[in-house]
Amino acid sequence: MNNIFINLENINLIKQGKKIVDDFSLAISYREKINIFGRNGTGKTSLLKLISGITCPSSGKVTIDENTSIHEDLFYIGHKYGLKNELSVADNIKYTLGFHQRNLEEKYIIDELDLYNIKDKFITKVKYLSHGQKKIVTLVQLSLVKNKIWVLDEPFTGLDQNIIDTFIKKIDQHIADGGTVVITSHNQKDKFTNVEL
Amino acid sequence: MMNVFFSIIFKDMRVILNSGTKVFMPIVYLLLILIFFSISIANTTLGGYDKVLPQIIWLACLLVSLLNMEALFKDDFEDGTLEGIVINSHVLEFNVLAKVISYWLFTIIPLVIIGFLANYLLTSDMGASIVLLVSLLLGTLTISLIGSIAASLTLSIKGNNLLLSSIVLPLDIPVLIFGTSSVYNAMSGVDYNSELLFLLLLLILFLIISPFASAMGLKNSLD
Repeated sequence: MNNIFINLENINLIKQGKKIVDDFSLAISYREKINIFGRNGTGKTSLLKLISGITCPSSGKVTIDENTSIHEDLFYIGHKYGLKNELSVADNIKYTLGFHQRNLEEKYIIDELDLYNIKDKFITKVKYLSHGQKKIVTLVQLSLVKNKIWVLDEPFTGLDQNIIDTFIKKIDQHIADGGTVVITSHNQKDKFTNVEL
Repeated sequence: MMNVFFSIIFKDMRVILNSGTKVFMPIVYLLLILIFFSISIANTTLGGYDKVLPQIIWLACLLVSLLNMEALFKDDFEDGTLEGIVINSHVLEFNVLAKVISYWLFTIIPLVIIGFLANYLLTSDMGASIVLLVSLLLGTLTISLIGSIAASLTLSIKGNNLLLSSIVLPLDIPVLIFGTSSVYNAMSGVDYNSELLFLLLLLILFLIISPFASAMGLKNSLD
C-alpha cells in the first residue's frame, strides 16, 4: 500500500537496561485505523510515544512521509490529558485551538460538546469535572483541532457506552476524511485493524 | 509562530491569575525574608539596616525565584500539557522561551516591583532604588533562564527542589556579584554602568544558550 505516513523498521527500545520493544516493524498508511494491543507492560505506550516523536528508538529506523509533519499533523492523547484545572472548559479548548493555530467560532465548540452531552459544562472549571468528562473534553479538542493523525493511548477507558459509540462514529468520519487513527485498547478490537505487540 | 508564542504566554497568565496564590505567595515570602533579616541583624554592629537592605532584597529575590523555579515546567509536566508542547512545536526552543518569559513576567516581576518599593520606602533613596530595579529586572530574567535549564533536567525526579537549587546557585554567582555591586555603587555615588552592562551581557549570553539546553532537557525528561 502506498501513502504510508510512518514506517517503523526493526525497532528496538531499551529503557533502564530492559528491552521494552523487541524488533518490531509496522507501516501505517493514511485511512487506516490501527489498534496496538498486548499484555500490560509490553510497551504499547512507549510505541505510541515513539510514533509521536517523544521517544527515539534504541536501534531501528523510523521514516516519516515527506509530506507529513509530526509537529503539524499529529495529535496525541496520553494518560495525562493536558487540561488546566484552573481554567474553564471553554478556555482550555480555546487555548489548545490557539496553540494549533486554529480559529473556530464558539458555536462549533458548543455543538461538539453537545454531541457528548456536556454542553452545560462549557464555562465550568476543569477541576470540577469528573474523570470521564475530562477525557471527553480532550476528545472534543481532538476532533476540533482536526489534525490528520490521531494517536490515542487507551481512549475508551472511563467512558460510558454512549460516549464510546459517538466517538467511534467520529473516528470513522475521520478515516473517511483521509485521516489515520492509532490507538491502544483492550476492548473495541472488532472495529480496528489489530496489531499485536 | 508568534501566535503560538503569545498563546502560551496568555494561557500561563490566565492560569496564574485564576489560581491567585501563585502571584501572592512569592511576595509574602519576600516580605517575610526581609522581616527576618531585619530581626536577625538588629543587634549587630553593621550600622544601619538601610546600608545592607538593597543587598538583602537582591538575595531574597534570588532565593524566592529559586524556590519557585521547580514550578516552571512541573505543572505542565504533571497535567500533560508539556507532551503536547513538545510534540506540536515547530521550534521547541521558541516555546520554551515563551514558558520562561511568562514565568518571569507573572511570578518574578511582581516580586521585583515589591522589592523596589520596599527599598524606596525604607531608604528613601530613589536613585539607588531605580538601579536596584533595573539590575533586578536584568538579573532575574537571567536567573530564570539559567533555572529553566536545571528545571528541565530535573523534571522527572521527584522532590527535585534541592537538587535544582544546587545546580542553579553556583551559576547565579556572577549575576549576584554584578547585581549587588551595581546597587552598592549607586548608593555610594560611583559609576554603576559597567555592572549593568555586564548583567546585560550575561542576559544575552543565557538568552542564546538556555532555550536550546532546556529544549534538550525537556525531550530527555519526557523520554
